[in-house]
Amino acid sequence: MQVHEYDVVIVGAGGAGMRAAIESGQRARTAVLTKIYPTRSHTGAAQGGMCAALANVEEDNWEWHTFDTIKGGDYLVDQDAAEVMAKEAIDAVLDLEKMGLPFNRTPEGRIDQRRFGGHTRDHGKAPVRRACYAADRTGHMILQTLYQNCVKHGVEFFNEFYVLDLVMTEVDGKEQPAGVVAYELATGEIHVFRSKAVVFATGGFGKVFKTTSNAHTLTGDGVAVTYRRGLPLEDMEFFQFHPTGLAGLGILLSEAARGEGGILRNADGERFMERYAPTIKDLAPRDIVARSMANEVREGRGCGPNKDYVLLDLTHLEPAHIDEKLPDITEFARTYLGVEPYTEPVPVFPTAHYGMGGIPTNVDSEVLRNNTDVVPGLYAAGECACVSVHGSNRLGTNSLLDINVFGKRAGIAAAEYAQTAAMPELPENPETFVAGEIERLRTSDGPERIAAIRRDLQETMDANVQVFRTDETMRQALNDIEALRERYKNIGIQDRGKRFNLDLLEAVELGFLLEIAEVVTVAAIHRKESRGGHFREDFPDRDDENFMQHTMTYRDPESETEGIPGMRLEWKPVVITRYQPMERKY
Amino acid sequence: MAKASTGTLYRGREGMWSWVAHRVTGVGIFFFLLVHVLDTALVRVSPEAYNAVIDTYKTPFMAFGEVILVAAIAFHAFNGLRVIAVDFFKGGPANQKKLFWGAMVLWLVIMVAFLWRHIPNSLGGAF
Amino acid sequence: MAENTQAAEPASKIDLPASVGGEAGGIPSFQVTAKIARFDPERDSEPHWEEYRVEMHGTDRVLDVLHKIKWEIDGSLSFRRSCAHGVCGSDAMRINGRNRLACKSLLKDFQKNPTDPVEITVEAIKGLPLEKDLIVDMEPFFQSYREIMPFLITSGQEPTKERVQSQADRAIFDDTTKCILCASCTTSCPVFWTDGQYFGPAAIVNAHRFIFDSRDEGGDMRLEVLNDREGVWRCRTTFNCTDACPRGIQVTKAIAEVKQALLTRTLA
Repeated sequence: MQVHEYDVVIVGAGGAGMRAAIESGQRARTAVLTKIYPTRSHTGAAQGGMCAALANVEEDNWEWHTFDTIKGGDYLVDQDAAEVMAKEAIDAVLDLEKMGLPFNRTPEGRIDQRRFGGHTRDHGKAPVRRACYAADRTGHMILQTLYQNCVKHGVEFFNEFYVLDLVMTEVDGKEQPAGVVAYELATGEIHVFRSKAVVFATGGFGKVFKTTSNAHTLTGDGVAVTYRRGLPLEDMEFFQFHPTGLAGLGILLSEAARGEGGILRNADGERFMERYAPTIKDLAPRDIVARSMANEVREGRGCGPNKDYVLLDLTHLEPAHIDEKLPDITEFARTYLGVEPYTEPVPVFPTAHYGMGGIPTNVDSEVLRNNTDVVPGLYAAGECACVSVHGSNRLGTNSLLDINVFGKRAGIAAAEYAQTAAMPELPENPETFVAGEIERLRTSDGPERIAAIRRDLQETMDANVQVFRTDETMRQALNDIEALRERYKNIGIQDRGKRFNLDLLEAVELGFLLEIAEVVTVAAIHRKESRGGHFREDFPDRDDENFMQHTMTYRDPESETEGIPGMRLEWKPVVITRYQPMERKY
Repeated sequence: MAKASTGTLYRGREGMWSWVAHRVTGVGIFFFLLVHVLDTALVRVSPEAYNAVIDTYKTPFMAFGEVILVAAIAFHAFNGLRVIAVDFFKGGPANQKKLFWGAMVLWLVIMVAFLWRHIPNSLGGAF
Repeated sequence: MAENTQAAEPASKIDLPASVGGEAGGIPSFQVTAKIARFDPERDSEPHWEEYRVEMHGTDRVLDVLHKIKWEIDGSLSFRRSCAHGVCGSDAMRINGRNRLACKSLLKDFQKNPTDPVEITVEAIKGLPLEKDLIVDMEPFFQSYREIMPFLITSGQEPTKERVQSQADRAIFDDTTKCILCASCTTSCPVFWTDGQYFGPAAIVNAHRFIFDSRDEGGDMRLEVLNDREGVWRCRTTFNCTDACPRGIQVTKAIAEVKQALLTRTLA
C-alpha cells in the first residue's frame, strides 16, 4: 500500500475535473485521479453545444438565460446558482476559446451561436441563438482542449486509478475529508491519497438503467462513495429521459429528427402519437413523447424480437433533406444498427440521459453536509453534483456550461482552501474498508454473476422507475433491488488476478449502482407530485404547495423512509431570487 | 511485465503492399547495382576479363533474371513517382489508390513491351 | 430555403418491412466464433489463442461479442471500453487483421447473408507493449502526443473577447480536430511497429491541428520537433493509418501537408 500527499486531489478527469485541475494545478500541489484515460470521459460524447449569452449573432443577455434555465428546471432550480452560471457563462466560453477550442465562426470571425430547445429571448418570446458549438462535436472539442491545457500546465494524472472510498477525519467535532483511497487497475495495489481538499467530478449514474446514453463506466462512483460516508444526496429522483435514443444502444438521435418531420410508429405501423397528442402529435414535449413511446411497449405494441422499442420513420422524407439536416442520424443508424433511414424506420426508445441530482453543493462548489453547513475541504462539480442549476429538468447545452463554470469554481475554491488549511491526520488504517472489499470480491466464488444481477437491476429500473412511475411500480423496483442486494452478497467473479482485473471492478461498481438505484427509487416514491424529469401517473400534477423543495437523502442506520430501513429523507428549500414559480408552458 | 505483441499478419491494402514491394525492389536493385558496377569495372582490368564475365550472363537462367530486374525497376520507378505525388502534390493522398493502379497499368505496358523483344532474344538468336 | 418536406401527411398506418417491427420480422441471430488472443501477465509468457462460440444478433458489434464472452463465459477476458459508440476511443483492437474500434465493427459487415455464421479474430493493437489480453500500455503513445506540444501557443496579451478567426481559416484544420487518440493509426503503421521512437501518425495529426490553426504561434517550434529522423520523415505513405482511422481523418494527407510545410519553410 502506498501513501501520497497532495494539497488537492481531484477525482474524475472529464470536463469538470479537468477544468478544476487547470485552476487548482496553478495554485496548489494537485493530483487528478481518474478511472479511465482523461480523453475517454463521457464529456466527449456531447454534441449539441455550450450556451452563453455572448450575443454574437443576435441580442441576448444573461438574465434571459437565467430565466430559461429556471423555467426549464420546472422552478426547482436554485435561482442564485442559475444567475451565477448564466453570468459566468460568457467568460466560460471565452476561456475555452482562448485555450484553443475551435468553435465554429460567424462570417465576421466571431464565435457562432445557434438555437437550441428551451433557450429563448425575453422570457420565452421566441427561440434565441445562444448555443456556441464546434461542428457536431462540441463535447469532444471541449474535452480535448481541456486535456491539452492540462498537458500544457503539467497537471499530474493518476490514470486508471479507481477511487473507492473517501477518508474522513474529525476536526473540531466536525467530519471533514482527509483524502481518498484508490485502487490501481494496472497492479491491483491500494493507494491512499492524503490531501487537504478533495474535489469530486465523477459524472453521472445512468448505468442504473438499461436503456441509457451513458458510457459503461458511468456507475456513479463519486456519488455512491460520498453517500456511504453519511453525506446527503440531493434530488436523486430527477432523471432526464431523452425520447429518441437508438434502441438497445442508447445512442441519442437529435431532437431535430422530429423537428424535420420524422414520426414515430409502433409494431402495427401506426403513427401512435395521434392518440396521445392529437394536435401536435410527434412534436409534443420530450417527456410526453417519451411516456407515449414507453406506453406502446408496455401495452404490447413494441417492435423487434423482444418487442421492446418503437420506430422513428424518416422514409417519407427526401433523402437529400435527411442528408442535409440530419447527417448524424443517418451515420449512427447505418453504422450501429445497419438500418438505412432512407428506406427503413429506425428503432428508438426513451433513453436515460442525465441525472439532475447528486452531491449537494453551494455556488462555490462546496459540498453540503445538511441544508446549511458545508464540509470544509470537500467539493463537487459537474453531473455528480447538484448545485442545483438544473432543478428537475436540464436544458440542452447547459451541462457543458455547468461543468466549466462550477469546475472552475471548485478548482479555485479547493486550491485557495488548501493554501491556508492544515494537512489533516489520516485515521488508523484508512484503507481497511477498501482492502477488505477488494479481497472479498477477488476471492468470491458464489453462484451469482455480476452481469446477471446488473441486467436485472437495469431492467427493473427501466420497467418501474423510468418514464412511468407509480407507487406500485416503484415499490416493485424496491423489492427487486432488495432481492438483488441479497444476491450481490453471493456473487462470484472469475478473474482472480491482480493486474487489470476489470471483473473485480465491475463487481465494485455494481455495488455502487445498487446503492444509487435504491436512493433514486426511494426519493421518487417520496415525492408525490410530477415535475420535470419525474413523472408519476398517480400524482400527475405539479404540487408547489407541498413539494416546491429539494429532496435530501441520507444514509442513516437508525431511520426508515417509505418502509425502507437505513434511509432518511429531508427537505431543503429552493432558493428564489427573481422569479416566482409559474405554470410551465411552451 | 509488458510484452511485445505478436499475432496475425496485418491486412493492409494497396498502400501497405506497394510499400513492401517498393522496399523489396529497392533493396534488390541496390544489390544488383553493386554487382553491376563491379562487373562493368572489369573493363579496366582487361577487355578479355570483361567479356568472360559477360559471357557467363548469357544463359536462360540469367535471361529470366533480367525479366525480374526490369520488373523491379519499372515497379520501383512508377511507384516512386506515385509516392512523390502523394508526398508533394495536393491531390496525391486522396487519389493514392488510383495512382497505384495507374502505375500498375504503366508497369504492365512496360513489361509487355520488354518481353516482346526479350523472349525471342533469349530463346532464339542472341546466344 | 424552406421546403415543403411533407407534401402530404404521412400515413397513419403502414405495413412495416419484414426486417423491423411486427412478429415474424425481428432481427436475425447467428453463431459467432471468436478467436481471441489471450495473455495473462501473471501466468503466461506468450499470448495464446482461445476460441469462443456465442449466439449474436444482427445489430450486434464486436464489442457486444466481447461483453457476452466476459459476462457469460469467461470473466477474466479484459479489454478497455467506455462510450460504446465510437467517440471515446477506448476499444481500438485488431479485428480480422485490421485496426478498428470494437464498438463500431458491426458483425453484419462480416457476413454475406444475415444468418451466415461469423468468424472473427480479435487481438490487441500492435507496437505498444501488451499488458493483458486486449489491453496495451498507452503511455508511449501519449508521450509522443505530449512531445509535439498539443496546446495553443500564443504570445502577448490575451484579447478581451475571443480571438477572431475567419470561417476559411477554421476550415483548414477542421479534419485533424476530430482525433480521439484511439491509437488505431499509430499502431497500424509498419514503421511504428519496428521503430517505437517514431512519433507516429496520431502525434503528427495533432501537431497538424495546431500548426494550421491561424491563432497558434507555435507552428515553427512544432515543425522543428517533427523535422527529425524520428519525425515526419519516417512516414513511408503506407496509408494503413488513413484506412484505420475510425473518424475518417485523412491522416496521410495531414502528414504530407506537414512535410510540405517543412520544405516550403526552408525554401521561403
